[in-house]
Amino acid sequence: MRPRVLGLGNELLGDDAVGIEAARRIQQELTDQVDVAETGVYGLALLDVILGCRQLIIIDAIKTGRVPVGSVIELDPRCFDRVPAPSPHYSGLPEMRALAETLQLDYPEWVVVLAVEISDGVGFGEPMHPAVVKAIDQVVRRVRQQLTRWRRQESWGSAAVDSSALNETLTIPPKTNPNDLRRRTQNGRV
Amino acid sequence: MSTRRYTIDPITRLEGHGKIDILLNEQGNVDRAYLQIPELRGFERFAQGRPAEDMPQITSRICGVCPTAHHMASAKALDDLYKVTPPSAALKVRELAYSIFMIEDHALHFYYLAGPDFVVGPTAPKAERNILGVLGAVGLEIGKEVIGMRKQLRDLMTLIMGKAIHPVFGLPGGISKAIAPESQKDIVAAADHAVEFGKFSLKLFGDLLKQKPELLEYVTSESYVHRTYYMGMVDSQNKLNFYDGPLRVVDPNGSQVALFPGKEYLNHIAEHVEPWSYVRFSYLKNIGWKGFVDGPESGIMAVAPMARLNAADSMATPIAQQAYEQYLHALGGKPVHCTLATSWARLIELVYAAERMRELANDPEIVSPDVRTIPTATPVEGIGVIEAPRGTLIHHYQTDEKGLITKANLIVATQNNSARIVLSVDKAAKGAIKGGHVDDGILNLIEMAFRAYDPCHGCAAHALPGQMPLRVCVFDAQHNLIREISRG
Repeated sequence: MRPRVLGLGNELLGDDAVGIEAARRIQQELTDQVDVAETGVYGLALLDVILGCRQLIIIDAIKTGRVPVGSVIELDPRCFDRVPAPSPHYSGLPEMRALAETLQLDYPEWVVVLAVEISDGVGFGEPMHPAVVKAIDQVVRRVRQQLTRWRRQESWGSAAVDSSALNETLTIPPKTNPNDLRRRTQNGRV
Repeated sequence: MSTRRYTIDPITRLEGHGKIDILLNEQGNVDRAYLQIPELRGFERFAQGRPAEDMPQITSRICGVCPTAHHMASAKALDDLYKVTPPSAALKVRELAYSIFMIEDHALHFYYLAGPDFVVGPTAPKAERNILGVLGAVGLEIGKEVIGMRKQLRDLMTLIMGKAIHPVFGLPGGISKAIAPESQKDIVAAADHAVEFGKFSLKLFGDLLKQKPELLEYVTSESYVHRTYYMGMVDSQNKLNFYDGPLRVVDPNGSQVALFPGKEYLNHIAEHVEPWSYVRFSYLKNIGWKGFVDGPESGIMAVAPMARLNAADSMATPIAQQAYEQYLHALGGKPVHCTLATSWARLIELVYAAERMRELANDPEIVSPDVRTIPTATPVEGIGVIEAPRGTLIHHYQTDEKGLITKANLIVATQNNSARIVLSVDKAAKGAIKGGHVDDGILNLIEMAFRAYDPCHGCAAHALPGQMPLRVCVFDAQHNLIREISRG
């Protein structure tokens, strides 16, 4: 089963298109190695593009306000709040994972999120920020790295790989209180 | 993986996302509270100069929740723009596809939105008041059934519309492809399944009401009541319809005050602007804007399931009609003013959509190859109206003689509900804040007030945050920020 790359975002909304644009680049450059999907919808529709693969790389836009625009941040979705979205309008990956686990759906074993820090330019038809456009090169490189890592894992066995050693990591400085995340996750397992 | 801690601000194209402002008076009581609702920033300018026939594809990308509603409203606006009537088969297939979409959307929202209140219970711990808590209470088999039903419907939408999410389907004068005759049996089977699913959901809800009579008190609580006008689409017999028909408005006593073709909306719906908000508040032009108050003197109206059930005289299908009668009986007759009844109304609409899907699925005409009337008129102006899951949706385009957009105006359902949402948030805040005392519990109270409307806050899918961001800002009488409570 081939790894899957999923681009998330809205291609009409300036920098919000970065996930979609990156996925399209990967479709061109790595079509022999991965399956590529893209979507701009919420909620359970995410399951349609998440389930049914073992290894998934999600490319998305993010706005932390603490790193330069165009920075590529790798996130482990297991670090995020599991649920309480009160509406399908807000259900994202953490909730889909929880739902898939609860219902024993075919959720991927490995999920990596590559998030590109974006600017305020998310209005209709706005061009992407040059730094965000440039970040797509880095995203493609990171996807290649991740695919290599997974191939090694498969040939060596997962216990032999220290993923952080292979990774270009970027740590985001805490905003005000480093316990923000911990507090937010009090209702669910981290 | 090393431990890293982030606070994620959800990326959004809108300003004031999930933001509630509360203004206090000199006594520290609430003068006014309101929820910021997004604008479609830059959409009109974006649309200008684009071919009108691209609008069904463009507008379906506006919303990550209901792309099909925008697609259909846009296709109907193109019919009107090119003064062309699609063949009967095309209209039926459009309505069939739309019914499938409504079933899927309503099922999802019923279990997500009503589940925490009705299945888990309004007083249950917040950690359990979500879809997982619902599954814990009703059993995993039901969750699997919802997922399975949804997949079957999605596959069918792909079959009919080419793509389920951003369809290339609606064209001026019809649709892009006919249904292959051999597919009809699968559509019938899925429709039968959908009706059974609807009946099952109704029974689940009915059983809950029997087991927990206090739920009815909760729904009818005065805290969530506003006596406003209601608008919804009806057919020629004033039965509820999602796809086509005039818009009907009833007053707070349930009497009809307007019945008009959607393309005359400008004669009936006006927009009020307040200096403290960029939201344009829809109201009834002929009643007038009297401020954020309810009652027959105020032109504030509501759309969406509860409003549609108030605006219609009855349901067009038998099981939905029976459920409708039970709903009205339990809630004391029409019109229903209890905002929290919206979830119940959504369930009745789900059953209607499934029954309507079954009617259309069994219609021999849906496999007719005659699905397009080629337009020949010179385009000038077109208006398309549809009932989106969250209420009446209006697309209005003007073009030059080549069909390039010169002006595009969209009135989305949340905008039509926006003034009533302010009433709800305001009422909740007034009940929760006295003498300047504000505590964190206000987040939950206010969220309950507007959650039933399921207002649309943003339109782009993202992996995170998996939780609704909410920020409450409290200002004193001099408009100084004195307290900020946030989540997400």
